[in-house]
Amino acid sequence: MALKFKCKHCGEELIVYYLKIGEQAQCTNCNKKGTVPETAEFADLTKPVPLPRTNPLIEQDEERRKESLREEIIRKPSVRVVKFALDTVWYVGIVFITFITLGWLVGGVIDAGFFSDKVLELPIIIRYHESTSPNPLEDAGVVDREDSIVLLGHSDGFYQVSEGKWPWSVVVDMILSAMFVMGATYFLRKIFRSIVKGRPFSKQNSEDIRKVGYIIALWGPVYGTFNFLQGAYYLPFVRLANAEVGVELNWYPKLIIVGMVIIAISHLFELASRIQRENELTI
Amino acid sequence: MPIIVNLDVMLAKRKMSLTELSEKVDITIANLSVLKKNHAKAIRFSTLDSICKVLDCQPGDILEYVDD
Repeated sequence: MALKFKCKHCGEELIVYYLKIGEQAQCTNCNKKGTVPETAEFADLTKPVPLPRTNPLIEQDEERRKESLREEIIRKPSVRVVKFALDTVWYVGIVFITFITLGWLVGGVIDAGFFSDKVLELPIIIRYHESTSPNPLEDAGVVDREDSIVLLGHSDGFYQVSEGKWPWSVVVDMILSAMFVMGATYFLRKIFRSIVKGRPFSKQNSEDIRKVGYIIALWGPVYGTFNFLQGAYYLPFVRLANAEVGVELNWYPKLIIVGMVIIAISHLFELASRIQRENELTI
Repeated sequence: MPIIVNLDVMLAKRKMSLTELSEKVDITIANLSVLKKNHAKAIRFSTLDSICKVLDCQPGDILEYVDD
């Protein structure tokens, strides 16, 4: 039987449908808790009455259900492994970016030479003339790595940063790569947290999955273009005897495809969340 | 939505609480509350059948169409 009484805190008229006298109720107006008083009257429900916005018992029940789901998910070993991996990537990434940025700034100011012996991997196409010796890169003294020798006529080239040239592109390259990884990791951690909280199918999750897809799809063109510009910048410094060199533009189409697949999955996820919501509201 | 659920009115007429109805029709209070608050998107025939059986009423006693 529904009971009607006034909130002792704010005076709002409250109607409770299944609480009894002496039980605790939460005011829909001021949200403060109080007991249903003995002076509560029977509510005449044949007249239209405002429905309560919140119901403490239902909320408690819902909270308990979510809590048990959360505990069940956290106990799974695979979930712990994923959580550890994502956290590691995130915190190592933060340290890495900080270190590289500081190193860049300090190195630029004091003109330190700690980047001068780095070897860059550049998308340089090398075409050898027939009379070229089998190991032209070594002959030219440019690089001493055997795996950089091109047998089929073209491949990625290696260029050792020569003395006195401060390799800004090495730093930008590392920061750019780290930012992409960090961006994807940020959204993956967010998605993971919502799964652990027992809300896997939500609009927010599908939007976050889509953002991961865009990051991966854009990674190829952005990084490929940067690599191309980097190659073009260093090309004049590459000297190879009996060979022609050029720069290759590679947009990593495999990454674009993977990104597109993730974007498509995010749309499916959004549809699933809508269906789940409708199912939840089908009584 | 122009469909109004008058479950609270029928409960009052039958002097039954939502908890009691929940036990008799085997539907959680949370779900019945969604229905009562008019937040439900749909109602299954089986649910309607159970509610009508327990409250001894017709679907029209619970659902009402109001033109906006």
